[in-house]
Amino acid sequence: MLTVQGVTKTYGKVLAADNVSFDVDEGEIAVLLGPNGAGKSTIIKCIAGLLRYTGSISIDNKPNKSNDSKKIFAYVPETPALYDALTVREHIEFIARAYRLKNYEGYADELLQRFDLEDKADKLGKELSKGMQQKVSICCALVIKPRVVLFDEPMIGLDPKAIKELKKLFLEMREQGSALLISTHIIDSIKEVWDKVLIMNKGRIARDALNTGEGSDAGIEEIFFEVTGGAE
Amino acid sequence: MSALAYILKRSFANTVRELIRKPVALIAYIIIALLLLTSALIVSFADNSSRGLLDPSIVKAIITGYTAFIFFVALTSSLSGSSFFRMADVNLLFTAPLKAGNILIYGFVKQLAMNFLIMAFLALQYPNWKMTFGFRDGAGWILAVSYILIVMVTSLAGMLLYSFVSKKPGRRRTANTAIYLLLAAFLLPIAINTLKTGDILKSIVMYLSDDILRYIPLLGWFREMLLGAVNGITTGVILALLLTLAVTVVTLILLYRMDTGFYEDVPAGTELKENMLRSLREGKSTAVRNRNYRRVKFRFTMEGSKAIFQKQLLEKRKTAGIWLISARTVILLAGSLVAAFTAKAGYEIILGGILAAASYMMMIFTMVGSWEGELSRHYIYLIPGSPFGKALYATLPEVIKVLVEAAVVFGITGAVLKAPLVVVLAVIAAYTAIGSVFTYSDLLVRRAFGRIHGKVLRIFFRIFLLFVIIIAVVVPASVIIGVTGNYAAGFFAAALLCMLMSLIFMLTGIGLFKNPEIQ
Repeated sequence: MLTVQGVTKTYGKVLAADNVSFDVDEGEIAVLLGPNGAGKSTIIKCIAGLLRYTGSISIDNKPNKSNDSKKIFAYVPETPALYDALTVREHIEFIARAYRLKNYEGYADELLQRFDLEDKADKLGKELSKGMQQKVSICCALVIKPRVVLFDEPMIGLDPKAIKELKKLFLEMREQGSALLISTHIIDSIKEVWDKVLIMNKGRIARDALNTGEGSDAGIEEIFFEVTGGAE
Repeated sequence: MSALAYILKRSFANTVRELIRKPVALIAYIIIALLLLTSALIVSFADNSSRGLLDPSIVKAIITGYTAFIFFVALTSSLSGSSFFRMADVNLLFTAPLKAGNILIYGFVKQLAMNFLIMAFLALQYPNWKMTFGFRDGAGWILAVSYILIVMVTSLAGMLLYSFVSKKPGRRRTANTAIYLLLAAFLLPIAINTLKTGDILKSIVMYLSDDILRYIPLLGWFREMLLGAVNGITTGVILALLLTLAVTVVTLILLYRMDTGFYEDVPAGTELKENMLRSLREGKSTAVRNRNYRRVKFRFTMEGSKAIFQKQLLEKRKTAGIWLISARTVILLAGSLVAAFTAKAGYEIILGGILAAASYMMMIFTMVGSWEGELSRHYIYLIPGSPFGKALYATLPEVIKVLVEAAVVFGITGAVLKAPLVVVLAVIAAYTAIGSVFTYSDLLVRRAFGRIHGKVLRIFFRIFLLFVIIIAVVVPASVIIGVTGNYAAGFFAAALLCMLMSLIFMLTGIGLFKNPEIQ
């Protein structure tokens, strides 16, 4: 569903992503794990088409910057970027209109309710706390019912209930056949949900592993420290 | 102090290093430096015996008006707390074992460095002003020294005033009322004179050029210093300079030694400054303080990229006045009406003059467009749609805003002048098209130089553009008017040429939406 092939990104002389290749299948949750500065956000932004890079990225066999792929993927940035003057509901309505969604209202209400935003629907973006903004950002991404979702450190700023709800949503989306790519540096945050882990270090995929069931969670931790040299 | 000097030294070195890494921006800065040098050479070789285009009393009035304006703005803004620190300074320096006075001097040096950039921009305008105001030899130095002193003393006095008013609740309101009463008292003679003579323009010039105003502390001294550029270095200029310098030193010592409470207020002021900088980055007004968004009932009806346009209109409805009319529109209208009632010329000349003056104001004061806010968020890049559509719909509200301004200013002024509708429509079209040239050139500058350098270089590019507009638009339009005698045709031709320029800029700047680089 998501294919990344030989993606390289440099900032001046700094090599942020070095010939990165991987893919994420339908109904799969892949986790980009790595220490700070490993290049996780860079790769996510390349996939989202927010950075210039060399290599190729396709979503459902279409180039990531094409309109066809834009219609089916969503991105949740590390730092929520809301509009100060728009209310929570206006944010969702704006996205729905921009993506030409039909009959989205029911699902939008459900998302707002699941993230405890129902009573904040008329609050302005600037009136929300950082955690609330992150919830709105997630709702804006998910309201389009994407088939590929890119999450960049999605749990940061969320309260425990929202984290639990988000994990439930991860699993539901996997059930529905969506491909999820979640970047994080906190190993504990993705336990129980991951199918594939891609451990990044110094701009490269240093190791990947599949979740084979019992003991895998503990396994990632070991691999992580082995690959990164205890950098975390 | 060495730690603070280290920050200043390293910040400067890192900025230079960063610039070297961006050759396009570096070349642009070198071109600007060359332009500054050229303008200095033009001025030094120019015929200095000629007088300015304006009457000396008008020059005096303009300088007094300008001084009064910055004095009033400095006083009112200081009441809400102003800070020349950044959050990094607050978090790292204010918690470090450093002398509070030294931190103040550090902030002050930073403030001055910032103002050198503004001075560079002003220097590019210098030949133009020299011709208009009739500045003497060496006026540039007088203006530069005066400017630095004015910035220093208003910043320091503002800090002292704030530390005084912030001590007790209610003081701020009292001080605010006092400032407005002082302003009213300052302007009262104009009202009295107008009632007597019935000529507001004459009353303004007569009052603001009166030499008695030089005795008003600070305001009068600033005026006297700046007038040195026209009258040369007189005893009055030296005295004003010394008095301002004395006030600067005394205020600095007071702030350095006294427990003014200023440092307690810095975090709040700095937070406000960070918000203002964020607003500027996003193309919003800097008036973020106590901003209340109007609650409006609204339903999105447009889809795709058009939703971006509708969203921006919604934001403008919540922030701007009725029908996108801003304070600038009101000021422009007031100035245009004064011109319409007092100028003794044909309606074509008056409307053309207002068009030129308003375009010049637009070049200086329209610093950012709301489309900039879109560029810092990911939504616009992810929404399915063509880059052209996104560029168009993200910038369209700016063009509409200028169109509304043009309709209000030229519509009303044209009606007062009893100008034919076709001429009024032509001027509206020309002003809107000039506005779109600035909007789309900003897009190109942003694409070529990036967010940070683009901001700095934008205004210089606009000055360059003004020359291009004069050569490629004003000259052909004037020829059409000269040949046909038809002013409407001339203004429409100007509009058409500007639209063409806008289209070229838009198409070259479109890459911003096609291949973004969001860090």
